[in-house]
Amino acid sequence: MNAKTISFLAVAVSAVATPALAHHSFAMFDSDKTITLSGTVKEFEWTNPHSWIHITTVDPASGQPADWSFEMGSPGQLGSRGMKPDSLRPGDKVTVRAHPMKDGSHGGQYMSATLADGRTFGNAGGAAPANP
Amino acid sequence: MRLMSLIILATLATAAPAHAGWNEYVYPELGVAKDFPAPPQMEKSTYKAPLAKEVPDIVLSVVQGGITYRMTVADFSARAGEGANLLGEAESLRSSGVGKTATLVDFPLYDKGANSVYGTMLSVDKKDGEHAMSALFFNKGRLYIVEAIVPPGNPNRLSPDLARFMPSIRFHLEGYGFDVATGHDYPLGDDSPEDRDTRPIPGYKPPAGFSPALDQPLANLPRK
Repeated sequence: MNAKTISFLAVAVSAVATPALAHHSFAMFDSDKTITLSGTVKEFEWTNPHSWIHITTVDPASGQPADWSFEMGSPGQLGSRGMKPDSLRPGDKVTVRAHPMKDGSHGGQYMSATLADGRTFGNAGGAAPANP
Repeated sequence: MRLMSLIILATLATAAPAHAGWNEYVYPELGVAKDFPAPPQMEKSTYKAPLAKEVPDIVLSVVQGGITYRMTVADFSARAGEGANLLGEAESLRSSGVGKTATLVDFPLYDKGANSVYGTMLSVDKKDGEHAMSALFFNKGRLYIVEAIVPPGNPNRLSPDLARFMPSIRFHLEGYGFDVATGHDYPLGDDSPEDRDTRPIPGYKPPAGFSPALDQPLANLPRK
């Protein structure tokens, strides 16, 4: 008989922001496109089932500030790849890569974030499919 | 049985950061939890449509930056078998009609297996300049209509708050744990392996030091 072995680990070590089908499919984002935006962290919401990063960047067309929000994985997913609630702090300079919203609004599915000191959080590779 | 390694971040599963702004509001009596940018007002009303006729509903809404963030929960508990058509009617009413340009954004899926809830997400622009995003679901006898409406002339057509609002809903109210072995979340209180996502996550590896051979007490694991 195969025993079901359950291992309980108290953690959160490293971070992966791999956009897997955790809680829901990322249907509203265009997985065929990737955008890269540089700006300043406005807020980092460390919440379950999805964390969010909000940044302020400069709209190239108008030169005016523009806010963007990116949906991330769960704290469990982020924590397993080294992220912590204070990994991204308001005021941090950051470059975010994401799949943009299909309707053009200022949102996206988070792929990675790179801080000014070169640290990168996230998955630089491919993402899980938006729908199973 | 396959080996499974679980990491329970119980505090993270339930905690919400103490920040002014977006928060999740849980409505067990409505079978849903939803994020709003501020505490929503709740109003009892009547949902009306040709096929739906008239049924009681609950409308939760808040206006911020001129944008209306709204969730309508209509009670079709006596007509749960009509869910597909009732959902289709709601989708049609929001997307069709003179002066409307509808873009079908996609079909979101929430959770897996027995917990699955499929929906439709729409983006609609009207001739008068109004822009609305809608996400519609029918689950367990209730029709859920999530809407973010930007009125004509409002400069926030591209507001990131629409992206923040639309997907932030959950129907599995027990919360989620994290499976270290696979890198996937799983619904707490549900032990069915069919309800868990086991597809490989590109680039994911269990953290260093992880060993599936460790035996740990089950006392701290979630159970129904």
